Amino acid sequence: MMLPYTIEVFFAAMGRYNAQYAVLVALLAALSLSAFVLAVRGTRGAWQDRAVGSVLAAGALMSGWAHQWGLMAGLNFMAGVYAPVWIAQAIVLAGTLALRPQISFFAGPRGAARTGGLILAGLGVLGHPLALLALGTAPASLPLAGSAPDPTAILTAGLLAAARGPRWLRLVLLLVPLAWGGVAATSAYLLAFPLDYAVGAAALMALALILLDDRRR
Amino acid sequence: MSDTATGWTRRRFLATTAGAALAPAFGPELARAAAESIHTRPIPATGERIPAVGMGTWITFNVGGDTELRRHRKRILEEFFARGGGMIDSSPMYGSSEEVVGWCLDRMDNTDGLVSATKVWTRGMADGEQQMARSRELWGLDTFDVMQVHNLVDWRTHLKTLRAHKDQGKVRYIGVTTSHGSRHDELEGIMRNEPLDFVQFTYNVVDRWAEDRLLPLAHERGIAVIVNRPYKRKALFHRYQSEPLPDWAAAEAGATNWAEFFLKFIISHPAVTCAIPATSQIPHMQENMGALTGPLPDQPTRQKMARYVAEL
Repeated sequence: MMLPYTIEVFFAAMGRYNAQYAVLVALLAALSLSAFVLAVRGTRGAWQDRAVGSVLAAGALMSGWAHQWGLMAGLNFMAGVYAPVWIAQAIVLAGTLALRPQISFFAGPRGAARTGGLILAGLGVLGHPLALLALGTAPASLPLAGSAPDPTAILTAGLLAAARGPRWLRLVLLLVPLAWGGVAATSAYLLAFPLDYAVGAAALMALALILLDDRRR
Repeated sequence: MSDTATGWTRRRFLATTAGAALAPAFGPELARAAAESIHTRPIPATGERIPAVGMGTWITFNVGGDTELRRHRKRILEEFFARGGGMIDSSPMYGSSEEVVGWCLDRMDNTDGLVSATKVWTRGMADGEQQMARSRELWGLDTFDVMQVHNLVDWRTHLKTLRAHKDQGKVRYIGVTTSHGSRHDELEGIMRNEPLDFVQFTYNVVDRWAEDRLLPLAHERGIAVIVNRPYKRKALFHRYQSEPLPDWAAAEAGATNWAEFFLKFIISHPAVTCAIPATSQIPHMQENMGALTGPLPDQPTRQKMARYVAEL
């Protein structure tokens, strides 16, 4: 099995994508960073939880609609399958985190799940692009949280692990990041680009953190 | 095995003549290539001859809208045609490859040697018609030389359409494809029972199962054979490039590098019409097209080549 494009073509396409949606990409990256900061400080009140949830939903929507459908479908026919999954994730995130928040990002007692989850989320917002920069990726071609699936999946997985709320709901919301982690790990192997394994590893760590989370709900 | 330059079409002759005229600009290697006869093979259905080495576009031409990458692919195609290349094979499955091929062809001065080959890769008659029309639009062609059913997807439906298109002059030859050795029994049944001009499958110096039934059957039924994955993707180079070519390779097989070794093994099979290696690098294209000239191995040498590779 092979992907129908090379890593060189992917980053060339990312450069065009970032240029085409420059304002949205910058806005969603800034909002993703803000959501991460809010979660680190601990949300205060439902509107802040709604804000974090809305950012995650917007990131999923952008990943499905613009990135997969608009950009990648021209390079990889499988993107036509991934796109609606991301859009469905956006709808579910909007329903459960933004419209009627059932998960909270308030600080509460510290624990492995919260600490580990926030570290993962930080990797999604900052660590992933910085690692790409260190590997020589042009800044204009960086996939960023809020507009590209890999960092968006890491951010979402981390915040779900750090959040408080029904375990079953957090696991349901983790399904798409987990599935995307599988896609990314496959890409890592096929494109010989090991950094993409990090997406799968982050999603699995988030799964473990949620399953082992012993905080009172 | 027939292997001459006779029977060339006028456009092929002109293309080669143009290549010879341009040769000084490209150096002595091309001058030699242009001056020599290149290996061509007849399409059994008509006797029309095509160069025995073409090119694929899987991955290598799927570069999306990046202009710089597209310009580089145009240079690849220029090298391909300048060295006597003919068949370009693509598919709607290959992302933007068809669009990029069309973009390049539209910007090239001379594409006279082109043997255009693509595929239909969808289900249903209406969707197939629509996809093939889109391919003609992307390539900038009114007529495809070869239209194939990709990986046997809904082949019963599409072969009916392809036969109608052939009658209407939208396509000159029709065929079916498989890859990486899958669905050979079904392919064999189609080859036995359906009127085909072309068939495409995988064959290389280490994947030789096609020698048992498919290649003899194609020969018997008068079906032209396009060989995909001649390097088993890149696996043959990864495995053998660090190994020395045998000291008899140049004299007996006409091979001065591994690309020529692998390709000449394939195109010297009497049932093979054309091999379609894919590349995005000009030096690799030059090596690929080197297989179009010089001596070819005979049957005992082919066996020797396979043994040599197996024993490495």
